[in-house]
Amino acid sequence: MPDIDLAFASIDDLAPRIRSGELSPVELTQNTLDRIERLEPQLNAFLDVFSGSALAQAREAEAEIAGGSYRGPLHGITIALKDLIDVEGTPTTGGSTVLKDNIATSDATVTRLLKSAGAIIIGKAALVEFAMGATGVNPHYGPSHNPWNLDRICCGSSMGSAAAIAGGLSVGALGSDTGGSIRMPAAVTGIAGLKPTYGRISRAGVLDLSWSCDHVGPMTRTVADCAHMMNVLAGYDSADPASSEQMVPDFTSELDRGFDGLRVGIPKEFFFDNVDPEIETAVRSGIQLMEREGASVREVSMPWVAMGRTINIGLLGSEAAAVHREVVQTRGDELSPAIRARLESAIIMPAVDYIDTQRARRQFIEKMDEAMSDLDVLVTPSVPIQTPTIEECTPPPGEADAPGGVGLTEFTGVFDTTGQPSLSLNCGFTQDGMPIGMMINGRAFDEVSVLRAGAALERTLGLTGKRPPID
Amino acid sequence: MPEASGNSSVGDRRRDVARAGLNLSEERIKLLMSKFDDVDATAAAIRMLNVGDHEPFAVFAPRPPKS
Repeated sequence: MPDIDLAFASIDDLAPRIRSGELSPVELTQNTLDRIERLEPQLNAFLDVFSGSALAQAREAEAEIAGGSYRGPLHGITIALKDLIDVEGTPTTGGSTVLKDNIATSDATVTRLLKSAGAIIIGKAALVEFAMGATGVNPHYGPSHNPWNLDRICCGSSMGSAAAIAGGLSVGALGSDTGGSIRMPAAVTGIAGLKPTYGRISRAGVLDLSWSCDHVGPMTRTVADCAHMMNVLAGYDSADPASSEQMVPDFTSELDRGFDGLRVGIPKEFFFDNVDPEIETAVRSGIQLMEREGASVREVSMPWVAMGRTINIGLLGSEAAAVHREVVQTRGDELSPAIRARLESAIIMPAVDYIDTQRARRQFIEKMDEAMSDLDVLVTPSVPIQTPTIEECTPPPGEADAPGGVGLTEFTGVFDTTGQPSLSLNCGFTQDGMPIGMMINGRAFDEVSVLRAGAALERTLGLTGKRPPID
Repeated sequence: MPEASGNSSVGDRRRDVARAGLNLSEERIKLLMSKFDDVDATAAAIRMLNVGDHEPFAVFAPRPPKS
C-alpha cells in the first residue's frame, strides 16, 4: 500500500513509486475511477470516462514497467483530455450537441504523445461549448462545480480539466487557452495551468476556435508536474501549420534553482487598477516573498497594456466566426444562446479591421518584448474578480447573457495576444476559502524561467497540501 | 427591442451579416443589436491605434527572446 494519498498526489510523488513497482498503474487508475464514480455527480468534470480502455492501458503499463521498460514520469499516470482533443474512435464534442456524433478517426498529436509516454487517458473533460466562454457554464451538459465550493464556477472554458485535477479525479489534464481558458480555471480551483508559447505544443487534432490565438497546455496539481507534461508534449509537428521549430529544452531543468537573481517585473498599469482587494493582497504578498527569497523585483510601466485584451477579443471573435460560420447558419438553434449570439455578431467585423487588429498585435508584441527585455518574468493576478457562483453566471432561460463573471478574461487575454508563456498557480485563499491565482508570464519560448519562478513560489508558499472540502 | 445600434439600423445590420455570409432573420438581428455595438467598439478601439508599418502575418511566428 503506498504511503501517499493517491487522489491528490503529484506526478513527482507518484512516478518514483510507479517506477520502483511500489505502486501499480492499475491501482492508481482503479482508485481514480472509483473516485470519479463517487464524486462525478457533484463535480460534473467529465463528458466521457474511458473506464475500460484506461484499465487496459494501466495493465499494459504495469507489465511494461515490471519488465524493465519504464518510459518516463508520465508512465502509468492518469490524464484527462479536454473534449476538443481527438482520441481515435471516440466522440470529440467540443461541448456541443452539434458534434455529439463527431467520432475521431485518429489521435490528436498530443494524445499520441501522451500515449507514447505511457500515460493513461482517463476520459474527456467538460468544457464550454466550442471552448468559447469564461464562466464554465454549458447549458447542454451542465456546469462543472468547483471542488472548493460546489456552488461556485470553475471558470472556463477548460472547467472539467480543472475540476478533475482539483477534485482528485485525475493526476494531470490538458486544456486549451484562447483568451485564458487554461489559466482562469487553474486560478479559481487552486491548481497550476500553463499556456505555453504559441506554437510550442501541436494543435493538430484539436478543434479550432481561433487559429492565431489557440494554445494547448497542461493543467496539474503542481508547477513541476506542468514541466513533466511539457517534456512530453512540446516540439515541432508538421501537422500543425503554426508549430514552432524552436529548440525544446528540458522544462524541469531549473525547477530547483530558486529565486536568486531572477528578474521579476510588476506592471504599474492595468493589472492592479481594478482588481479585487483580497486578490491584490495575495498576489503582492507572493511578490514580496519572491523578493525576500532573492528575486530582483521592479515596477514596469506599460500604459498600452490594456489594449491586449481588446486585440484578443477582435482576433478571437472574427476567427471563431469564420470557424463556425456554417454551423451557425445551418444549426444555430442547436447552439447555446450565448455562443450563438457571440458568433453571429462577431461576423460583422470588417476584414480591414481584422487585419489591422493583427497589425496592432504585432506592434503590441514588440512593446511587450521591449518592456520585458531585461526581465525574466512579469507577475500579475490571473483574474481580477473573486469566483462568482454558478447561479450568477447562468443566463435566464432563452437569454444569452448572465450578470456574473464580467471581466474574468481581462488579464489572461493579454498573453494570448502576445503568445508568451503564461502560468497560473495558487498563491493564497480568500476569506471564504476560494483559491487565488497568480500569473507568471515569460518571454517567448522561455517556459523554463516561468516554471522556475512558479516552482520556487510554490515551495515557498507551501500551499499544495491543502485539500478542497469534497470528500 | 432596439431598432438601431450605433449608426446602423436593423436593415443595415442584416446587410452587414449577409455580406459576411450569414442569413439571419430580422427578429434574430434585433436580438443582436447591442452585441453588434460591442463588435463596433472593438473595431473602433483598434482604429484609434497607429499601427505604423507593422505587418499582420508575422503573428504566426512568436520570436524567441533576444539573448
